[in-house]
Amino acid sequence: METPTLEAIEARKLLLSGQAPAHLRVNGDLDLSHEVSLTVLPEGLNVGRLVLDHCPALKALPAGLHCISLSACGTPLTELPDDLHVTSRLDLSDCKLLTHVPKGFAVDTLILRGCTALEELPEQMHVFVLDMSGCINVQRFPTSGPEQMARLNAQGCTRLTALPSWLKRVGQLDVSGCARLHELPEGLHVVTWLDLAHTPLRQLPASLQGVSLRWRGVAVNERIVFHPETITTQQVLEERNVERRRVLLERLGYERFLAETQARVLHRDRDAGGERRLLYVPLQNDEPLVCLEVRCPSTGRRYLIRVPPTMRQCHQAAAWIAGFDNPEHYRPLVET
Amino acid sequence: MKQTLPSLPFQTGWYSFGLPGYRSCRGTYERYPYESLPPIAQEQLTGQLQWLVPLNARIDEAMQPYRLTDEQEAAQITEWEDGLKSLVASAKHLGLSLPEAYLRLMSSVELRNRIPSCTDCSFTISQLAFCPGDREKGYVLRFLHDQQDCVIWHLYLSASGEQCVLASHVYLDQVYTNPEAFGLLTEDEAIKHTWMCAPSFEAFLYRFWMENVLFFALIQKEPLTEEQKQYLSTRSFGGSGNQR
Repeated sequence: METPTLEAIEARKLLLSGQAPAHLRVNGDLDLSHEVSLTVLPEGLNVGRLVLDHCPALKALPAGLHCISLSACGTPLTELPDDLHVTSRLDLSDCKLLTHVPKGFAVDTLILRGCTALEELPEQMHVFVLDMSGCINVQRFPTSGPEQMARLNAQGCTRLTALPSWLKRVGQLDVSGCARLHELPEGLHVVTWLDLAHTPLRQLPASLQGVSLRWRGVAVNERIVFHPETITTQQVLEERNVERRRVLLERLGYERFLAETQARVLHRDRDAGGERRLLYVPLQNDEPLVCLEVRCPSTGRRYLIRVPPTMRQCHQAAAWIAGFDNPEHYRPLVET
Repeated sequence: MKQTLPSLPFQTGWYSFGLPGYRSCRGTYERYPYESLPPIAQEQLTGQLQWLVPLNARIDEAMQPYRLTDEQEAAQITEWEDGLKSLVASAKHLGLSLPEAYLRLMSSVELRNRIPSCTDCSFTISQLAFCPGDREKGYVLRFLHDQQDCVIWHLYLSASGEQCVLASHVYLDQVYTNPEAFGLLTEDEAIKHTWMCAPSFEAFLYRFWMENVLFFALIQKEPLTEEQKQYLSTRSFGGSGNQR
């Protein structure tokens, strides 16, 4: 039987009408994003680049689908067909219901960003770029996988406890926000950079000594990451790069910075925890640092919370922290 | 020692500009056949960059407006030095040898300022990345940009000691990690937009320097040195490459 071949514009009409034949071959790329009526695609569809982003009724991909790249962000897909063939790039960002990727799945770039229902990655996957950021339910990697990757983005994988032993070389490694990742494997080589902001990592294995480090995307050195106690207020004030200064400030701690720079008190009042103060420090070529100092009514502990520089009153800042744009609407009955 | 190009899935070609009276150019750049390039005396490529002599006063003056001010230089020095340190550490972990000429050049503002550019190219420190088309054993290191990123030059290195320079229309170090920047370019497409242009970093640098100095000398009608005359005499400069 002859395989039907259509230009993208004709194929699009047919696909949206639900009349497209099986094994349809499409010349060119197809963008069917945001098509609310799209529920099914024909078996064996063969297309260059296929975009299915935010098609709310598309719950499954057809068997035998072939494409160079496929983007199905924000769709209600729960699993991928075993014979799905995507050569270059598969983007499944924010597929919140996705629970299964087939064993041995192979694609150059696999994006699983924000796939919050996914608990396991496939065994024997062949990927060169893996973005699993925000996959908050993935606890561990499979037992086998590629020895090298151009990029592994595990940002915000808060349940992840270890990186895989099979991974030997990775170009860019982002483990920022992996709150349970206490160590990186000895023998792992990072080619380009390693982002380790907000992790419990306290040192690097020998194979990573001297590697280029990042803190939430900002280039930093080992001292800033592992020895924040050596950062001085003066260094923060003298740092000309705004992004780097913010990292220095965060690592130094707002509390110490405000104390050592003798912050100006913009406003003070009282709440259930006692006195609270709105503190202000001007920064060169940057917005000023404004923080609300509060005490917890239960524990008595003091906290400093950075707020927008436009804040002028403690109540206004507390309302902003609680998510109120209008401070008039923020009237807590009890604070604990 | 005769330097040869490694076996990689790229075409060959030399992106450069016109040399008034000697070589025509149909745009800012033209890609000239690699085979047509004048030979370079290999014995002078020692890694020491002893051939990279100070610019004459007129070219130096012409370049001055395009250089970083002392203040700009001071602002980026820490980042540059940190980047170079990380790069050296990373290369060591991966068993790669960064060319001596590269390290010497990247460690010295003075040496970099001796290389003029008639198309406002500038050197940069980047980090190693897997090489498209040779991801199992090859790495690329972006080191030179045209002002408008018409051409971007990368050093190719492998753990077995192979080396060459690649000229590309894309950032080869970002093909896998930032494809959005290039319209979701695939690896195959990146390979088609990349050319091997020199067998080593120093061979590239020598030719790049030579042609830029020649450009200014010819424009300013300066007397040519023996080295420059020899470079121009070894072939007929008739551009036949593709326009860029």
